[in-house]
Amino acid sequence: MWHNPAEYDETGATMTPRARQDDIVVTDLPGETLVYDLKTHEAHNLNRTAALVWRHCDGRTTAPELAAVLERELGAPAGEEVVWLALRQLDKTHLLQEPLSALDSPARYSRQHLLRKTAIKGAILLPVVASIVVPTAAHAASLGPPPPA
Amino acid sequence: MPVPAVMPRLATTSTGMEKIDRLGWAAGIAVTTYGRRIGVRANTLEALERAIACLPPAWETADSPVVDRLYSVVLGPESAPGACSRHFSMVYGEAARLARSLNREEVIEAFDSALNLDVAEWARGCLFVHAGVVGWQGQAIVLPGPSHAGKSTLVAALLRAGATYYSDEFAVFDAAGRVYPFPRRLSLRGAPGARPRRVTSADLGAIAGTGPLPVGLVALARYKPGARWRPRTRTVGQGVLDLLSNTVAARREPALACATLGRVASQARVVMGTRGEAGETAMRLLRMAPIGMKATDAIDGKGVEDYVA
Repeated sequence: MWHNPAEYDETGATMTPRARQDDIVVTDLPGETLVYDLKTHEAHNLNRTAALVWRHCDGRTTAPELAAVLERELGAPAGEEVVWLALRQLDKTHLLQEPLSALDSPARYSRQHLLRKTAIKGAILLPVVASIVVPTAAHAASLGPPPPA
Repeated sequence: MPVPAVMPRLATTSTGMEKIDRLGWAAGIAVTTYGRRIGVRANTLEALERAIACLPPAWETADSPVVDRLYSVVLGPESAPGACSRHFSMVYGEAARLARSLNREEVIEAFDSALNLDVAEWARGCLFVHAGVVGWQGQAIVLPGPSHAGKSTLVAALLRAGATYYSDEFAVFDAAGRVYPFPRRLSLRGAPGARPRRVTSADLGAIAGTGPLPVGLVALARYKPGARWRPRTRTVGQGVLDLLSNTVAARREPALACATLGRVASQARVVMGTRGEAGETAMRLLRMAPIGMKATDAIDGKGVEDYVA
């Protein structure tokens, strides 16, 4: 099967993101996905929207195509900006194979902007990636949970 | 108690250990607990008996003296009140000194803490999460939290309200997400700086659980004077993160931890909030427990914060 190579900008960052596959443990939960990073010992909880975007990051699919996937899977309108909000969070938590292209990652799509927009539309659940640093045994015992990642 | 006949030893020794070995040991024991082989040796029979009282609830004498972890306990003679004693008590984990004090109780507490943490981290076939646990109407209420977070106080209040005792320190889960008893004596703290008081569940008028229970409620309750317990329900994923933050072997066994805690959070209702006094919170928790709303019903923690008024 022929695969399109991922598209990269001049900095080497990708415009067709690919989900990281190595050194992670993925656990499917009802409506959510838990990803444990074996390198950093961080655990990330992806809500359904974030998980859908992440699962379809195959290095070939573009942001508009990911938005179409969201609309199809969630049964509600999802603009490209929702995809970028998810991708920015996935990039920040190192769940993408390559860094996102700054050119294609518009800063204008803030969460608050999208909250207002989706509230008007009555649209989909916004993507959320919640993270923690998993404590060492001694830390878990004495000091309580470490601050969020 | 019969004098243990086995002097435990490690499979391999080191220069540091040889020095400890030469101190001279009067008695010892090798045990297996949760799949971990633990050895304890002591300078007196009394010291060994004190050490054995710290072992996790489920232990049995090992067939072999070769152990995974070896503790060496030295208790100085008890001095009369007001006497000027310079007899130190000490405890070693392998060659590392874990505690040294003129106060014997401090050393025993350090040993107790180190021993149980070691077992919690290296247990086989189960997962230890820092949490208080009680049984109620055929299900477990699990209260995750680190040491000094008020778990024991809340567990004691739940027991006084009629719950069954499972643990005030660790929730021990099997792969199916059921929780097992870990019924050590409760450690109740009084005034700040005061030494904890050890009591049994019977002292509080409660009975101890004997078999595994499915988890009905996981409650993360942070104490704040005067606060009212009005928790928010967490999603399954949020609940797993909450539990992972208190899981002793999460880094060593991440796949097991994520799978096990995923089952726990999928089957139970997970809530988080600020609590006030333990007695009032206990009554509210018991009223919540039988209610069948689960974490799978929550969406990003919204919509159920007023579930229990």
